[in-house]
Amino acid sequence: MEQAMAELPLIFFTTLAPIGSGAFIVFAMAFFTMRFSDEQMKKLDRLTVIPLVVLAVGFGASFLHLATPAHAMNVFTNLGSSPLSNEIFVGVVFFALAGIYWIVALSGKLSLNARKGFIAVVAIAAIVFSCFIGAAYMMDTIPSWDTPYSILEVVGFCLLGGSLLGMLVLGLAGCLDGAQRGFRKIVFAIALLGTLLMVCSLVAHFTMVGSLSNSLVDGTSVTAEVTSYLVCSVVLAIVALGFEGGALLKGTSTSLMAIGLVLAAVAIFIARIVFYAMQMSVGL
Amino acid sequence: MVQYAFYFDGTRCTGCKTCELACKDYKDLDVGFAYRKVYEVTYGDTQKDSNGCVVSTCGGYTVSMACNHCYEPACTKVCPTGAMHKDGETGLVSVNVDRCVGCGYCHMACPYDAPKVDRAKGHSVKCDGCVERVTNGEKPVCVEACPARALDFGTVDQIAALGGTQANIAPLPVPTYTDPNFYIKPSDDAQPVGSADGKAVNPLEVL
Ligand code: SF4
Ligand code: SF4
Repeated sequence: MEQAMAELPLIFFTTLAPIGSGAFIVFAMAFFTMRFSDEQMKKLDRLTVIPLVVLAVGFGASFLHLATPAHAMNVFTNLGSSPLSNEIFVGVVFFALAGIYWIVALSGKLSLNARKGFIAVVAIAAIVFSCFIGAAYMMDTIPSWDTPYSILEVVGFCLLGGSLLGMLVLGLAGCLDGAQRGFRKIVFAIALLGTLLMVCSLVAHFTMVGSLSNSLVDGTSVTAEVTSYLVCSVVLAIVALGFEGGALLKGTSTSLMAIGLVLAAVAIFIARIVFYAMQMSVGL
Repeated sequence: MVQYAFYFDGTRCTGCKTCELACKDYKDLDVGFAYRKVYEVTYGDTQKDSNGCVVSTCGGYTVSMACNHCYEPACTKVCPTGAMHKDGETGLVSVNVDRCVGCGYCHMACPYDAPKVDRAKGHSVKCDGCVERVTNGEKPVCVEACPARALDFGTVDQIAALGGTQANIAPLPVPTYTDPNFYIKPSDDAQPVGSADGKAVNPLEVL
């Protein structure tokens, strides 16, 4: 647990980055299934700064993890071979794509079709980014992390947290008034899939770590320490999904959406504590 | 290219930790940092049998280890900056402090727990094989400090000829992960890799 707390900046980064990037998936769904007035579009474009700020805070937190952030430009040296270089590269590409989308959209020069194409690319990049965040922890000398669960968990965070943040922003922009059933169903399906991925991967991951052992600890003592955290995270994620479902039934409730988002963010934060606490080397 | 290797003779080591302290002194390391560490393994118990005789299954041994300057280093593979690198001439693995961001990935990846980020210094630190001594024809400080002559250092051919086998006892992992340049002559009590009896019992000291 001490080990997990030492990674606090990374816990923040891996919580905020999937949530911030995931919001763009819901924007994409909205543009593909609904029509907005110029007024709504303008407001939404202005508020698109919110997920970008969430992302930026996440990146800022990741800098705090480095002992010498001044050398940060060197991190792309081993692009291709170092999973960390790859993660940061994909993250920077995503941030640039989302930022450019935002600036072009704000300038009002984006036709509806161009917007759809652009946001689809950003939405796909969001999923790819989450995959690379998870993959950064997969190395053969840390068997407790060297599993696809490391990736699936983060994709789950992105879909659940991102759908809530995206819906909150859409709601604040007044884009959900009279939102179609079809759109609401899609968003709920995304959130449900996210919750399932997050919860099932976490539980499976936890069980897998329990079966490991190395020359310092047995997996069972590692998992015993995080059991209560795991339960909290799973319960909070399901309750957050419930809030999102409730908000979607009504169609416009930004307050339910906001509560759901906070709960999801806390659930993801705790899931990351569990993850870092489950680090077990093959040796020492 | 030459490749250097360390040797550890488990039949000679008394667990005195002079090697560890000599290194700390020579490298001027602060509390919380040690490039060479002595892992202690103890196991078994002592009981009275039905006849009242005391029987014991206890055993214990030590392993003194620093960075193994592996052929396939886990640390260099994950390092994003290339700061952690294997020297083409000597095969020694060290940190280029002008490149290191201090991300700690090398520390996570190394299965021998050799590198560690020193936030005060702003980069990762670890055993560099006393490269300046070695290029002067001397041996690393730890090797020369050992009062029991349990350590040695030389080219991998010289070291392999001393009669040990490539690091293959608990609490170390199997050598296939990184192909370490570390040869061990095990003591009688030494346990195989992965043995339930082969746990390091001094974690607070070595981690
Ligand atoms: S022992 Fe660890 S730090 Fe040293 S070369 Fe091998 S993997 Fe790298
Ligand atoms: S701490 Fe430095 S040497 Fe270690 S992986 Fe990060 S950049 Fe490389």
